[in-house]
Amino acid sequence: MAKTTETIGEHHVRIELKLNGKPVSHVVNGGRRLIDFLRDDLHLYGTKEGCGEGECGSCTVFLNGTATLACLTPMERASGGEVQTIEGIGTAENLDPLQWAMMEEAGVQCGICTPGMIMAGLDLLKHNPHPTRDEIIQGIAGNLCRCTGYQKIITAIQRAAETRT
Amino acid sequence: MLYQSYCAPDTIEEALTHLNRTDGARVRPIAGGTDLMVQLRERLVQTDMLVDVSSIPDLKRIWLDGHRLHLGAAATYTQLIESELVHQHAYLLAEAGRLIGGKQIQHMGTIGGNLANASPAGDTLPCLYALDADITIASLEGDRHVAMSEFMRGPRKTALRPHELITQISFDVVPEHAGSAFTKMGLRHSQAISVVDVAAVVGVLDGRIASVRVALGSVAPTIVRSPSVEQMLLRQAPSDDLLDRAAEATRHDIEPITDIRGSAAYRLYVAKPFVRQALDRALERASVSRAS
Repeated sequence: MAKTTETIGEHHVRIELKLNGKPVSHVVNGGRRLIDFLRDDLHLYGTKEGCGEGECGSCTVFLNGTATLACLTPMERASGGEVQTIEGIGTAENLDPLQWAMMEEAGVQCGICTPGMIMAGLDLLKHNPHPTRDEIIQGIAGNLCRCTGYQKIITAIQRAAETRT
Repeated sequence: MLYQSYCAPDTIEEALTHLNRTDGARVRPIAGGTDLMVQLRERLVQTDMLVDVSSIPDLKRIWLDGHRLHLGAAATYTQLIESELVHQHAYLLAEAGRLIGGKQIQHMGTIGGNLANASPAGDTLPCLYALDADITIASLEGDRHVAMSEFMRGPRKTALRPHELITQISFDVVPEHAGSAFTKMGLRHSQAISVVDVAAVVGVLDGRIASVRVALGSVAPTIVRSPSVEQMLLRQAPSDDLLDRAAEATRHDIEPITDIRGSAAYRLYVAKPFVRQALDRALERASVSRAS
């Protein structure tokens, strides 16, 4: 299906997508990045913008099931598709095993990289449910933690892999 | 606002129609967006309309036709890494894909985008030189073919004209008696732009090097082949001494610059061991594929 983003007025577009499992439809300013749509229009502040140029991975979301950098994605690309952000992972009462493991292993310091790390970790576990430590390092190679808390993040992903089975 | 309007056609023809808008609007194809979105944000590139070609099915295929391997221009690095055909017939491209960015960049970035961006540090480009690839470029007038060595004209300069779209990359498969390798010197293992990168395809028949193509990136305004290395190796029996002298000869064919990632002198210095490593790995794979 060719995507002709409906243009409304001079600069507005309608973005319709399934967001964290629920259909949403918004008329917003077009010509921006997916992260702008998520944060500025939908006020979903879980997805962080670190570098804005694809170096740090903190804006990682799932677009149609693929770990994607929201800072490098035209927002219209998500229209008609499915987006999952950190807000769609677990609930306060029922955390995803990886969220729980990040807490238990103290894989969180300042917290800015955490949503992206969790999305990258989940992407890895989806393709490789029992990764080695080296494979985990490869899996989160696109994510920077400026607190340098990598060891605990790696351990948390390892622990999540054990508890998810 | 980074661009005024956006469309995501699902055929090449439709994309070309958009690229040929005659109302004076500036139109740009976008694939993964891993370079273009940054350039738009930094105002290095200005455009009115983005034509998103990343989900055109015909541009995402990887297929074998006799002894030619064809890559759709919007095939992602993850596709290269996971493709059985690439592993079997052009292993160096899977090797290069794994050394580009991190997983997210690999999921998004495409081989056609790497070509169009034409950075001297683009990691798939030396591979395409070493494979002697042919680039198919489509326009409303029809397809034309450009050899990889003619495609890149300088840093960020290509043979691509406005209104044209890269649709396919094709090359002869690496033959049974040959092996291929890609090596890269970055300042760290992942998410690193190359300081020097090397691609090699080496064939061995009756104990002698029957064919050899070596290409380097990040050491000249375009990717360069290294005829000095190739001539020294051709028709010779590979030995430690010969490979060492050949790798040393790289310096005659490169003219690196000094930038934030390394000085010209440093690049000249590290080119040799990385050429040697690429030759060693390609030769090793040539012997493994002969033995199997």
